[in-house]
Amino acid sequence: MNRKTSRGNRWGLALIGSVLFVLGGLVAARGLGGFGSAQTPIVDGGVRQFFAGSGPAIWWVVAIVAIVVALLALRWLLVQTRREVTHRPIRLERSPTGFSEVSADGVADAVAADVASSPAVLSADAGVADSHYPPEVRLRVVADERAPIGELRWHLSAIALQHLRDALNSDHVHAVARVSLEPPPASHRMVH
Amino acid sequence: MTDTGPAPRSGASPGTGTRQAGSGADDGLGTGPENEALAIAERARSCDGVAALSSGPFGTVATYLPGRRVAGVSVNDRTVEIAIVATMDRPLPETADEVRRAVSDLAGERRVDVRIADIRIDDIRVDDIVEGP
Amino acid sequence: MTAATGAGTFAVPGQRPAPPPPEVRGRTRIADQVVTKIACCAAGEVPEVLRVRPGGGTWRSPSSDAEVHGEQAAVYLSVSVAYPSPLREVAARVRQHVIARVAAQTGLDVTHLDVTITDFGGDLS
Repeated sequence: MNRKTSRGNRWGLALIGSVLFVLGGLVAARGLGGFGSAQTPIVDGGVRQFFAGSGPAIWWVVAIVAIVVALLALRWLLVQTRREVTHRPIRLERSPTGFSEVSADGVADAVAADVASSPAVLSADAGVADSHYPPEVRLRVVADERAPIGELRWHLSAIALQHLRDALNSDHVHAVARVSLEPPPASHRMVH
Repeated sequence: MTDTGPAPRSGASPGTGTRQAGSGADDGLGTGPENEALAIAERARSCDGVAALSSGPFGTVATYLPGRRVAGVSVNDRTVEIAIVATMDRPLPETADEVRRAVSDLAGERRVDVRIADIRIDDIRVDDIVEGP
Repeated sequence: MTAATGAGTFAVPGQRPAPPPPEVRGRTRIADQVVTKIACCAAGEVPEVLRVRPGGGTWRSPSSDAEVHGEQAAVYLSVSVAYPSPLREVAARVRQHVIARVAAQTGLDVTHLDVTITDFGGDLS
């Protein structure tokens, strides 16, 4: 689940929550005697007259609105299953005599190993988003908080991503790195 | 056509006797149709590019003689089938053709099917060539 | 055998067309695993290739590593390559070399070849 999906979820849930909250408030108010007596039916003459008077077209409108709402809900559901990281192979070449592809996990592991080779990096994890070519790479880096951040930046751009560019033969490889700074583990400190 | 091939062979001694006259000397094998498979195996094995004979993936290419089994040669009235393990010294079709030529007098008019069941590679850079499932 | 004499009359050599030369009498069949081995060796000869495994990638793998149908062959290979080497070029070179090698050694035409780069060696030089 990426950041866009989470934001969509927040807004969607807030909207549905407020709609339900307002409806619940109205029902409670009516039960307590607001908007006339609680004993009178909601669907009274006025509502019936409205539907009867506007002819059969009103039911089409109702059906279309219901379908649109259903489709929006379905799309929302599908967005939840979309994953940030893919494990499907990335197609390199398709010829009449078959295809060449590279494992997305293989690329991710290679990039992660490259990133982790820096002394400033405590651990690194990578994933490949979408199996398009060239793929977008997501990096999660845990770096030593005492290491100079410039060195980490240099290592990422000049080593890890440069290797990836060489491998993919592409000058534009999109990469998103999420770096968190942590104190080095105790054993690490003792070694040095 | 179908009944011409088998008859002289099943008639035993005359047919095999004449064939043996041409090839028996270097084979050093006894006469008789049961030794035909042995002779064919011997010839095939001595061909260039043949590392060994193989009974095929399911062990079907073999001739059963009293007390022994000749792997890699299966003979019937119309076909001689030879399954080999080849070396990579030369292209496989050339090896197959040589095997066919080498046994042509023993096979007579029968068709000689050569099956390359496996190959032997001397220096392998592949570290894990696995057998099929 | 009563058939022997009857058959003997048909078997007069003069009545038959000359038999084809022995090389063309009969078929040559090349087993799937032979093509697999040749293809694996050929792929291993590409310098950037570190390891070769027969068969496709991890998922949607075909049931076999190579299939021979008549004069044609289909081959599936998985390779590990040195990192970072240009993947597209390496894959293209593997394809080219395997197709040429199989053709030269077996006479078969590789009509289908899938190459999957599954992982990378730690060669970061």
